[in-house]
Amino acid sequence: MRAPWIVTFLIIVLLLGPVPAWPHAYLVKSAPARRAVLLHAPTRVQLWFNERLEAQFSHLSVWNREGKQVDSGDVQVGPDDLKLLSVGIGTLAPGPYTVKFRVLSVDGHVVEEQFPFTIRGSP
Amino acid sequence: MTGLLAFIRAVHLGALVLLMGVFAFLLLVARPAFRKADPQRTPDLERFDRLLLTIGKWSLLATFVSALLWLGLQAALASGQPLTQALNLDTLSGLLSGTQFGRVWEIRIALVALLAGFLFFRDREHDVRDWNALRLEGVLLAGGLMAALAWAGHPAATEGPARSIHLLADTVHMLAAGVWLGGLCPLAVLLRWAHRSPDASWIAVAREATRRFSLLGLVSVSTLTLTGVVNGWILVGSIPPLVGTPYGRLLLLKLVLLLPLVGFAATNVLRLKPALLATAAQKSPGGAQAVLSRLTRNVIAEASLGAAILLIVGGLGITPPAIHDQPSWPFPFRVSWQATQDLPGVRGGVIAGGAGVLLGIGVLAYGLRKRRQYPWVIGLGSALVLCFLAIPLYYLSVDAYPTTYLRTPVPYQAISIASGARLYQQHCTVCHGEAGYGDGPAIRGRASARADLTAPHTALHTAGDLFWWLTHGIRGSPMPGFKDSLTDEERWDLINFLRALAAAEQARAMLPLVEQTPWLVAPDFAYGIGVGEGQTLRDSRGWAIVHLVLFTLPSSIQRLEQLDAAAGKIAGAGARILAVPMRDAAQVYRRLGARAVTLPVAVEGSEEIVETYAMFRRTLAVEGLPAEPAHMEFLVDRQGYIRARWIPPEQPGWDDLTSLLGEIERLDKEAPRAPAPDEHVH
Repeated sequence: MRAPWIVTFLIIVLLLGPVPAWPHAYLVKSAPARRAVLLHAPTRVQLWFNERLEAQFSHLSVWNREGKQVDSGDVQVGPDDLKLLSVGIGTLAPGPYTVKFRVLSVDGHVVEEQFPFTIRGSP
Repeated sequence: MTGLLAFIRAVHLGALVLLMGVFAFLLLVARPAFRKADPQRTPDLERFDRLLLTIGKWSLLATFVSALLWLGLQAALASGQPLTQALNLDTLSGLLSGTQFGRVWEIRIALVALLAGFLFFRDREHDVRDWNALRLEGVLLAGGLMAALAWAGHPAATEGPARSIHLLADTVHMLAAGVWLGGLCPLAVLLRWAHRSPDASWIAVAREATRRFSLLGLVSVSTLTLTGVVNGWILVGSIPPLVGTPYGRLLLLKLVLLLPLVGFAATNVLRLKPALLATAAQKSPGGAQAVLSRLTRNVIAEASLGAAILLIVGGLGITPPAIHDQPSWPFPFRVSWQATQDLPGVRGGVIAGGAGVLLGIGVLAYGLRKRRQYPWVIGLGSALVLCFLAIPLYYLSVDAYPTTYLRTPVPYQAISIASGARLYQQHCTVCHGEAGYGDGPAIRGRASARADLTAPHTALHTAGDLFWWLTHGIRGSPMPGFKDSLTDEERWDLINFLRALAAAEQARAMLPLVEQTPWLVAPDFAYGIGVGEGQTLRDSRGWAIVHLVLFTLPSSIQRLEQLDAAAGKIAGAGARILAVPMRDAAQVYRRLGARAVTLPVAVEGSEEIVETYAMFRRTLAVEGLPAEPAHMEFLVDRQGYIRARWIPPEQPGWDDLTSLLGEIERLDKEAPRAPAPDEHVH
């Protein structure tokens, strides 16, 4: 039988391997801000989180008052900032909108939230 | 599905605990016990060893299968798809390669494979070293599997320096649980075999195994207590989350189950073990058999309680940690020194009660010493302690509500304060008055006690208390509840507005000179310059002082031009200017016209910024200052506190640029301090 220290060594190598330090996932900032009333419609909805996101498990969508999805579906992480989740929106008419998002946190919990914003339109 | 996930986690943990227990028991208890009791009993040891290794193999299989199921459920949970759809190559590979859970899972499966290789393809063991090597590998690999689990659970999400402490505590907690709880099963088997065997030397084995295992148990239970307290401190932190959140209540249930478990263990160690050891001298196998039978029964009871505890632990793992959750306080009162210390009679009551408790403890101690002669003195002492304890509790307790310990889920931001201000106008002024002094038309002239909403906040009421009153009203007063007319968010908006209102009242004495101690938190806000990307005031925290300029056109135009010309100097001193139009934000560039003002002007978001910061216009009636100023300037330091204010034509003022630059430089030279309290709740 092999000496136990080989196994000990293997375990130590496996455990000290590159396990990244990830804290709990939460929204740091968004543009538009939660409940913002905007003069100019933005071209993208952008959400900044406190940790790197995985595109596979990050969902983001924008809905209008009638419950119709109005984003262009091109949800992306980054490209430069891996904590940034964004989606494009076409030219939005004045009115209230809802942003919905869902991301996976490092301890396996799912963080799911939504917030409204309004476009007032410039006079 | 979360229920299923909790169950799978419990099964996985149970299998791991058993795996650890089997190997640790063979190595630390069984072999030494057999060798000491009777070196000739090698066939019995081999038979026992074979059975335990078989249990180990099945546990490993259960570990593997439950890990597979766990992966599937996690894929469904993470992707938000139903289980059947989530089990596709794309989702699984994304989970495995792209998430912490997946990476840790891969490492753990590798450990399972390694251990499986050792267990299923083992050579014949030639000597003791060979024998020890396999069991030690089992212990180490099972330990590795447990340690890796901590990296995919709550400890991995702990922030700051507590993280490595939490990882270590959680790992050691699991290891100790494995050695102790997992060892109970092998112990029960060994005791049962000894009980059934007519052979006296089997009883000697049982005796030695019990002696060794009780030592192991003692070490494990102490370790479990210590690491459990550390984990609880990090994940629960205080009493309200413990009694008010699902996580905290599950933890309490776990502790309730733990009490009888420790009770059984204590009976075994304090009564049955000495009784069993005493039978060594008696030579009568009958007495030993009776003790063994009771001991076996207790060990099986312990193991069942342990299994129940593992079920709870499975649930704890998928419940958000109490410290991140919003507690619902279950009692109608709370005990707080901070809140009551300045109330009349409190200090006296606490001192009197404390003295009484000390007296009671003295009587109790006397009673315990003389318990043979005066057993009733113990009862008297206990009664005194309890009675006198009630006095300080009475004085220190304040009314509390289920929402008392809620942290505000709506940050202290301009958008919330401005919304609160509008709601206040609609719903509150009729009684509380425009300015919050409690002089509204509906109650004017009435003798009822009115709340002065501008009074500084005291520790007597938490934000959660205010939320309860706004929601349900105040019993015995005209204050109605707004549960049906305002949403949760709107009620928190009102609370944020009240906080700003009280702060503005306290800030009346603020001058264009930097105040020594920061105390006035600058409400955060989001803004957009032109059509550019959205930013927040917070973004400047830690690196720039913000010179906030609220202006009105055309009267502010000269001042803007003056600041524009000095922008380089101001930036050089460490501040960035942010100009916010007080009116007609959409027209601001048109109205600036051909004038070369290149200052950043917050167009988006200006309305709520102005509505909020205009609250800080209240001054100590200085002669000549306008009641509704058209121009105001603030200095916000790097920690997010408003430190100085200038409302023209106040003199001396910042129209003298050297005095403005001087104030900025003073802020710039300050050593970094703690940032303004974080409003983030997660």
